[in-house]
Amino acid sequence: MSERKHQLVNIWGDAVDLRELLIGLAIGSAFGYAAYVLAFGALTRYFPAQGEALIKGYALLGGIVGCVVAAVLIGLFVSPKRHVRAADDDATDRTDLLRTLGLDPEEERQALEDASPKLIREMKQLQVYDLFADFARSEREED
Amino acid sequence: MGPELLHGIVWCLGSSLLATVIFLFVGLIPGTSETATIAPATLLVILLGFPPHAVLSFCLAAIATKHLVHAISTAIIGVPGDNMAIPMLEPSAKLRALGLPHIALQKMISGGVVALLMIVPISVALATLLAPFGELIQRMVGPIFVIVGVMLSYSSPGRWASVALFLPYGVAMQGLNRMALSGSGHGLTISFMLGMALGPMFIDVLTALSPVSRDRLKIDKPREIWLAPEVKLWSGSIPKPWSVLTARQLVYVFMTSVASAIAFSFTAIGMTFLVGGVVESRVKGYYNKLTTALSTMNATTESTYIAEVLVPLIAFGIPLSPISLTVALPLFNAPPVYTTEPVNNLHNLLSPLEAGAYGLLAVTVASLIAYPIVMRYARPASEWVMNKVAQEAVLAMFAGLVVVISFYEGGPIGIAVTATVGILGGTLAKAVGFNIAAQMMSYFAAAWMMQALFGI
Repeated sequence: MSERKHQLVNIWGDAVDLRELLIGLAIGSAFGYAAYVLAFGALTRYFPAQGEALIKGYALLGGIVGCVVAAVLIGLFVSPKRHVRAADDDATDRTDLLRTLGLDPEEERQALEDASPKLIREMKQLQVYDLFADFARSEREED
Repeated sequence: MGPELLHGIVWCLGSSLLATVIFLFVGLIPGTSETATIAPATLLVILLGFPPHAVLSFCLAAIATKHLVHAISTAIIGVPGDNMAIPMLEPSAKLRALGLPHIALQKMISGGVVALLMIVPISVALATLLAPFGELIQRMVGPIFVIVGVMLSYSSPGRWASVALFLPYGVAMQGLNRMALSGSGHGLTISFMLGMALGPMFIDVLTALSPVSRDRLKIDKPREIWLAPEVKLWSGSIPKPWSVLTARQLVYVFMTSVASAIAFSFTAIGMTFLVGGVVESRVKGYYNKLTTALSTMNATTESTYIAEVLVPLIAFGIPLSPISLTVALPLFNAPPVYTTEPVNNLHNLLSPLEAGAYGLLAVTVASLIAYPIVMRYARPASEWVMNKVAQEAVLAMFAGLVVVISFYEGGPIGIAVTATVGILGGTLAKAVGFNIAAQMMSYFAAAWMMQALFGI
């Protein structure tokens, strides 16, 4: 699939290639459904004495195995469309992210003022404190 | 120490250990139903002749371990570890976007462990004290839902629009449920939950499919993502769940554990959605809001789960809650060893004190083993997933899970219901901010509202 240019779209917070996604969705549904139906058929045939609830329970397990197999197969052929950055070298991107997530800068500013020392220490260790502080400040200056 | 007590403790430790080791691995498979795994395993140890206290220890340790481990896939990949984890998908997706999946996981399981250790004694106390009032509480559930649901709708991004949607959305859900009833012979629950939780995904896929709206989701380069550093939120060499949580998070975890024990006959997923909605509307500040919501929500699933097993077991010996009717059914009814008519099961074979003591020992063993392992590998696992696992594969698995689980619950009509609920709920959430918590409450309150308003 590498000769074709990817058409990237943002689905549920992450980048995917539209064509690969649609093929994946079809494979996932088909594998899951087929595995469930096959497991159900085989279990009713070979363990007719078992209760229906237990058979359905194991068929569900079979169906889930089908989904996992589909996901692994797709995972082998499709590469992730994200770049993991080790260091936080560009903070503007993340401030934009907060904006797209629909955060209210006034609420964030208030929350940082009221935060307990433990919470602030925790946010600083995780290197997200400055992010929220910048976000709250930048928006106020624009007003 | 008498030989009998020693014998009891050894059996209890041994069977807890066995359950913990088995379910450490089972829990890693996302989407596995507890009814299909814990119930048959418990049935097996009963038929093998394990003594009553060992059976109880096995079942409780299995539940505790599986919940701690399946939080991994919920928080890091975004695939629910099981149905109980569905409410936690949205907040953990938001923390993942901020580069904090491992913190989501650590907060979740820390809340879970604290709840596990508290809920056993709380359940025993409530089972002995509150059993006579169980029926009254159950009758009040309908009106309580409407009141809390309307309040949650108002606190959602949609404000009055969400309040206005509360009844119509409930009418639509009841309509769908009655259609499912005539199609498959019984009403549906999990299909509705799945539909509402996955609404945003349904809408995103539809938006990308349509030439009219595709441009809104188009991006020109791969996503840049950042992962927060490994941080030891606890002091000392061994992670202690109470030091990972802030004081406020601990208070919320405690309060919800008591509330879950009282509401023992109520569905765990519903409780979790409710608690998440309340916490998110009360806590200010994005980071604090989400981490508090996740730790409290996971505490709620744990404590509701254990309370649903222990309270009816100790108080009545009859399975009176959703979990005791499915996952924990063998503790009540596993002929020829245990029966409910007449009651000859763990209810009369163990005293409340014994059930409490062995239960607490079981969840402690499970926590001591599973918790440090999950804490230790939270960030390496997150990093691996981010580098290696394509979102396409995750979404494909979701599509499969939706088909399999809703087909399992309701046949072909189940799949149709999940898709319809997802499209309707997702559209309303995107368009006017009628969020998932509000949808969920509307769905749960709908049956009572139909009865009270229209007499149907």
